[in-house]
Amino acid sequence: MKDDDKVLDNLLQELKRGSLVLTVLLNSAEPCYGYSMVNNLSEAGIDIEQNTLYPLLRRLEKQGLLESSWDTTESRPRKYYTISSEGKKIRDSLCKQWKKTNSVIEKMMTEDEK
Amino acid sequence: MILVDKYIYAIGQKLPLKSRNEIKTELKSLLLDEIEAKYGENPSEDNIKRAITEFGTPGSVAKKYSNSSSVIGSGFTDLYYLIMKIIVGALTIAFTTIFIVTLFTENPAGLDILKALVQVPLRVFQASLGGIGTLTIIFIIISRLCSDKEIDIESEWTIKELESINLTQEQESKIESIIALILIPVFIAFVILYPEFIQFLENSFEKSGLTLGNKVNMDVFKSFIPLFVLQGLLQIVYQIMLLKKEIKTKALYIFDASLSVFDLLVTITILKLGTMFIYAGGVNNGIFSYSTIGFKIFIVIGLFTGIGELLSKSIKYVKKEIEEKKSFM
Repeated sequence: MKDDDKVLDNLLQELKRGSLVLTVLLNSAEPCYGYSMVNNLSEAGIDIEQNTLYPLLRRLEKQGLLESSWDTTESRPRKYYTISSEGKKIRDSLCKQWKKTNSVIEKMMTEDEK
Repeated sequence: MILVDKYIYAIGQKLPLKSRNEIKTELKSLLLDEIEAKYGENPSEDNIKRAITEFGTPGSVAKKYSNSSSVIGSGFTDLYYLIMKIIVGALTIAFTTIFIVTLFTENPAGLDILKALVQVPLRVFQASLGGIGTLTIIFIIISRLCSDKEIDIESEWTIKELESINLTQEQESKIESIIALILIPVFIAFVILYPEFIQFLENSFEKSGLTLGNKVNMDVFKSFIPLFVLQGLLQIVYQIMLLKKEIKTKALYIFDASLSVFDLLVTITILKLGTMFIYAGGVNNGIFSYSTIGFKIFIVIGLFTGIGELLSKSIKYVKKEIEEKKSFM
């Protein structure tokens, strides 16, 4: 990999990492387990490695943004995550900020194209 | 799915103790979901191997779960802990040896031996602080000089490494219980029916031509017999319960620890008692005189084992409690 590609790759990863929490919070209104979340995000166009998502779910749970419960009724136990009321507040604030930043950046990009 | 269990076990060894069990349960569930989604309900061994390989090396998976930044590079953590254990172990052996040598060369009197005994863990602790401190500084420097990628000791990890893992059930050994259940009644019967075996041993010793300075006071020894029998009976009850349950329950942990405390108290009482021996001349150093050297070693070893066992039981119990609490949080 060339140096330029490396720099771009790192920056893209940082950009992705920054938006990851918001995408998870937006996709956890309904209870979902780890693997189903990977699929949901993938279908929505966000590819995320399972080993990045699973620890993130735990971290968000620790921060009180997600709630979890074990379902033991099926053949093997599964841990389901849902957004908490605190998580909803944070998600809404993040969405506002996202829209604000997005409009600023779009404006900058339009000016740049001129 | 034994391969999955081995893989999860390998990850677990690298996870922080806190929440380890819960993370392992979750990871197993997640990995099985993936295997099922990709290869169906009856995956072949090759399918499982492929899924595990894609999931990542045990070290890389565990690293994602330990989000706290550490001053020592993750690639060095295992080595750091290994050397730390060696330092503490070597110091414990060294100070214990010094204690035993002092015991027989300086012949401390009375409760001085207990003071010397207490000094052993204190000295080990003090010296360990210095040793571990130096070790930590060295590892911090090395970690600063090498990046995590340079010290990735799992870069050549293959799934074959899982084959050497032996998954052991946390069941208590039945053999130990069975041996104890045979020997304890024999001991009880011996002490009740033939307490004079001590005199027989003393006489046999004297027949060899050597002089025995002090002899066991049989009246005092006999007064201790009910206590020895009680110790034995309690052990029998404990071993039977352990055999029935197969695993150490919370109640059994408490029972076992209480028995150890009781045994320690009996040993200390005997140590403090000045009347256990009849002194036949020479310096009266009580139980700590040269002539009772065999008994002395027996008591000291018993005391050491008792304290060690008690400590290990307490640590095991606390660890189990923490893990149980975390897994239900």
